[in-house]
Amino acid sequence: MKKKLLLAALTAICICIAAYGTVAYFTAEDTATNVVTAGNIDVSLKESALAEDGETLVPFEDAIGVMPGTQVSKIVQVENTGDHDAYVRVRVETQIDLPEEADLSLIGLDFNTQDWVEKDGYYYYKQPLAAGATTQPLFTTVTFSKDMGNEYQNSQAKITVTAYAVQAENNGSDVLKAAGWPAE
Amino acid sequence: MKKRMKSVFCALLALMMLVCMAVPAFAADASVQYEGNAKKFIFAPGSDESPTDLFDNFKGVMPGDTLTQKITVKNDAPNQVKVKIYLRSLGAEEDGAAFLSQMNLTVTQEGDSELFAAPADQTDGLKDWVCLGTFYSGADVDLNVKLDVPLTMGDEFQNAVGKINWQFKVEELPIEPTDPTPPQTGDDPYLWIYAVICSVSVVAMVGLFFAVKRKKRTN
Repeated sequence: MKKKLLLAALTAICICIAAYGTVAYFTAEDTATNVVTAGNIDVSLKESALAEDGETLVPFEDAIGVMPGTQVSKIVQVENTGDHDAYVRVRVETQIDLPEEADLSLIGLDFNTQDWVEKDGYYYYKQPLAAGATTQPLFTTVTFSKDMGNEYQNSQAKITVTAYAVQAENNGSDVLKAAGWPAE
Repeated sequence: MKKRMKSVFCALLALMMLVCMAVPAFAADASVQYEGNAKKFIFAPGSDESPTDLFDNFKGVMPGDTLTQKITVKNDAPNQVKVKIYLRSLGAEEDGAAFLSQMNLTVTQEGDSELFAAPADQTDGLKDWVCLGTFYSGADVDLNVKLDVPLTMGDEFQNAVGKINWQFKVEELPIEPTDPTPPQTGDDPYLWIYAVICSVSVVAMVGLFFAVKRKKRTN
């Protein structure tokens, strides 16, 4: 019996030593899936107008029955809906549907030249536009000249505004030096 | 007065607890930790796209970007364990390979040995296992990863996602008498079991020895 006990004790010690020793021979493998994602540039044109109270902004709706010498509220801004800073430029095209050639100078836009600069037919927003931010208005009012004659009766005036954006990072020191504007 | 002191003390205590709980969030360094007894690696920080993502700084990349990511590989085994850690690249997953092929990836091990320098979709110098070194518990090494995105990368890659699989392997080695004394970084959580069994066995043997001796004397 005592011999058995001695044997058991020795075996226990051996197992302990062996168990502690074998801990040092494991191997293991594991995989890391590393992800690279690309950013984006996206802008959205915002057109609003002042409500009758002169303070509240409402979505712009086509003005009908406009008379010479009147002003229509149309506030044009650009929102950066992408996830990176962007340079923004806007093209504004005015058109009046008439059988003969129309005088486009009869439609006036109050361009904001403090925040925007015109070059080669585009209006460039002077500052890089941060993700989620909105520009100052490019213009806020459309004026129909009082010099519009009878030939403009029942005509239709269209002001088409198109916004473009390009990344501001790694792309020149200011908006006029930026490259890579999207094609029209 | 006492009440006021108590209130002030409570407020101070609450403030201290708040300060203690506020963990600053730093722009992420990534880590790969070998946990020893768990027999697995812990990858951090992970991301929405992959829980084992080590490229925290390579999100929303833009043309012209040059970005870096430090990855610390560490033997975090709590007991004194000597390991060799290996790394290899399994390459890019097919879906984002075209996107990754646009940019260049460089992986440098601490001490300036370059492990990888190629378009990010390739395996280059990490095609086969590369030993990052032998680590005692608590030892680590830094991998510096650099991503160069060319200005020529086109609009078609906006919002693209690319995945690169890196495999890590560990080999635990016995500590030799000739090894330098490793720094003590923690205790083996199971060491006490061995100690208890050994002690009981020794006590049993000593008891047995004296019992036999006494019996012999009696006889």
